[in-house]
Amino acid sequence: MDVYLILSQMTLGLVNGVFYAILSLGLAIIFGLLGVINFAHGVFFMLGAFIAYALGQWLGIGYWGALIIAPLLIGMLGLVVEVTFIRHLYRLDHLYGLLLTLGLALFVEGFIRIAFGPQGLPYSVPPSLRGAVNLGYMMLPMYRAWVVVAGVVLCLATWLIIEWTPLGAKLRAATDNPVLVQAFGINVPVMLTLTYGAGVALAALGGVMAAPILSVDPSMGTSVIIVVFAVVVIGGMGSILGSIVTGLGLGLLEGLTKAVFPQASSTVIFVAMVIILVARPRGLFGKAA
Amino acid sequence: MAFGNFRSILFSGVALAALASPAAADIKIGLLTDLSGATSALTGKASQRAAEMAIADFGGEINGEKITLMVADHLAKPDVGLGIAREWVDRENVNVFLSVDNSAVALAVSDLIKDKDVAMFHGGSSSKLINENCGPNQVMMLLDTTALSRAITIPQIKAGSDKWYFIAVDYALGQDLMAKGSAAVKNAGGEVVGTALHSPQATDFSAFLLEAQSKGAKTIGLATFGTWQNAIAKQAQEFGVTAKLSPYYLGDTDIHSTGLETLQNISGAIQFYWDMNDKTRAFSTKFQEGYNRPPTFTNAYAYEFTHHYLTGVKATGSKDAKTVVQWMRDNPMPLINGDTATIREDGYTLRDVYTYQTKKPADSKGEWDYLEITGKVAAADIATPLSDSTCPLVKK
Repeated sequence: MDVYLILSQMTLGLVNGVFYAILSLGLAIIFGLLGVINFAHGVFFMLGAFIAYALGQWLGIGYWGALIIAPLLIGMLGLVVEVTFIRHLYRLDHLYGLLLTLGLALFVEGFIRIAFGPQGLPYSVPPSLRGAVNLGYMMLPMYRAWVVVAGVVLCLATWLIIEWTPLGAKLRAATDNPVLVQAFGINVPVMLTLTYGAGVALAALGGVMAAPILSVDPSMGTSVIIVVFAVVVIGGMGSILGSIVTGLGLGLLEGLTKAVFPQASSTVIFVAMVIILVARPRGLFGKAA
Repeated sequence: MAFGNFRSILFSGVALAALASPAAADIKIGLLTDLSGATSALTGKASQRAAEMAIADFGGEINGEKITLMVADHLAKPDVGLGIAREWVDRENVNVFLSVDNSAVALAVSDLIKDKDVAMFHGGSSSKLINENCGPNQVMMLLDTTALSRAITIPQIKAGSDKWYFIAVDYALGQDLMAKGSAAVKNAGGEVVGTALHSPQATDFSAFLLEAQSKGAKTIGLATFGTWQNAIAKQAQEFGVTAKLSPYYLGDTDIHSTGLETLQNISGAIQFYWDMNDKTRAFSTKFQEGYNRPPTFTNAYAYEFTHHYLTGVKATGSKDAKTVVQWMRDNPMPLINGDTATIREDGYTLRDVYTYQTKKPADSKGEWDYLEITGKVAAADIATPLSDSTCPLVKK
């Protein structure tokens, strides 16, 4: 077996792993703090890419602008969705949140398909990130290198905020005992709304980062979200660090499989999920109840 | 006696009604297509526009019978398509199915109409439809997978691109195209350096592209289409893949969505392109009076076959599927670009194919100016000879 081939496929796997990590991170935050299984996450990812396209097409705003504006817009949309729909379901079983967000996802995806067509839209790599980096064993396009670096920094920053800042401490406390935290004078409903907004803004950011690499089409979120749910389950529902590590790890595993046995690459993640769930039902990083 | 009279009156009434109903019935064309899925941008509503143009050529009626076009979405699901087809056959007395542009749906519908007085013009390209699944009332509009594979590989191998790598979507169509493509490459004296199957959920194809590159492929055959193909082209450019991409199905709509920037320097073969000659340009101008883009090759088919069918209905004075389809076989079919095509007894349509090269962005004069027609492949060079056909209708 060619070592260069394995290394290069794993490097490419890491790029996909970054997307898995960014998406599963948002899902984990939302599930951890709100208890909602956010099936609409893939749609927010897709919307991020579409907004990047729309900004470039209609307002002449390029990639870097989109990287800031798209998550802000989608984050605000997330706030609206939380206030109008999701907050009414906190007291009910998780399944209700899942059904609501799944319905929303189908609706929005259908709407985008009618508005923009099923074919997809062009979005190119920003000029400043064209070219390639020589890693010795392969030529990695500069843009993919940027995705890995930016993605990992983003994930770690999010993790640091939640685990090590006073804001993160309040968030975590509110998850454990909302009534007690409210008694300390903290507005828990507002905090939950903002959390949802931040979670989906992360998805949109992932969408903008994916736009130059993947096909920008209405089903791009659906294609990736199934894998991302597997990542969240393997990492342990709601575990922030778990979703980051698992996302990157599974990207590598997928890349390795592509080099060794390509046909299995689309199923290897689910095989891993089955094995890990049998051996450790709470996931790799899940806490015991 | 009174009762007997009553009965005869009743009977004659029924008989009259029975006589009257076929006379008043319309010529019904059922366009069963993909209006929402992966191929809807290429075919869908635009093919409806094309069929309507053919109907308008006859003033909307033949011999006093109104021509009706019914349109439905099969959602690329055989059960949905079959349900609609059954309803159209049993209740609506549809005369001809047009398009059915999904091989799984097409095979299901073709079984349904086998013994019925209904014609069918396939928009799918599974070779089965002109072999074991052929029927006296059925015609294939597209090239079948064998002919398509030859049309794409032979001219390029002649031009020196003799090392091929295939990327195929991992279901029946992709596997079939890949097998036929590999065979065509070997027959033409080329070499297949590798193949890869991608899952329908795949979004990242860079691994396959790198492998093709490292194995020294000169051409990458894309036995896939739509958004997958767009992503492959995008990633090939990102990784600076030097091998040429050669898609099996590249519609103008794909180039429109991905951009010439990404799809420049792609070669393949196509049956119809709107900017091929004065005749196609005139057709395109007329087409755009009712639709917001020029016609793609599948739209052209919808027009040509509907037109040829209606000419047959007029000439034979009959709506009997067997009679009309036989007439269509016996008479050459005029094509939009001025060529003529012939329909064989197995249902395959012999027509010349044109090789193309996508334009460089700088050479494109604007939206929809995408292809440069570079040559012609004769129909006989790509069709499976009738002697190899397994269609029971072929007399050997």
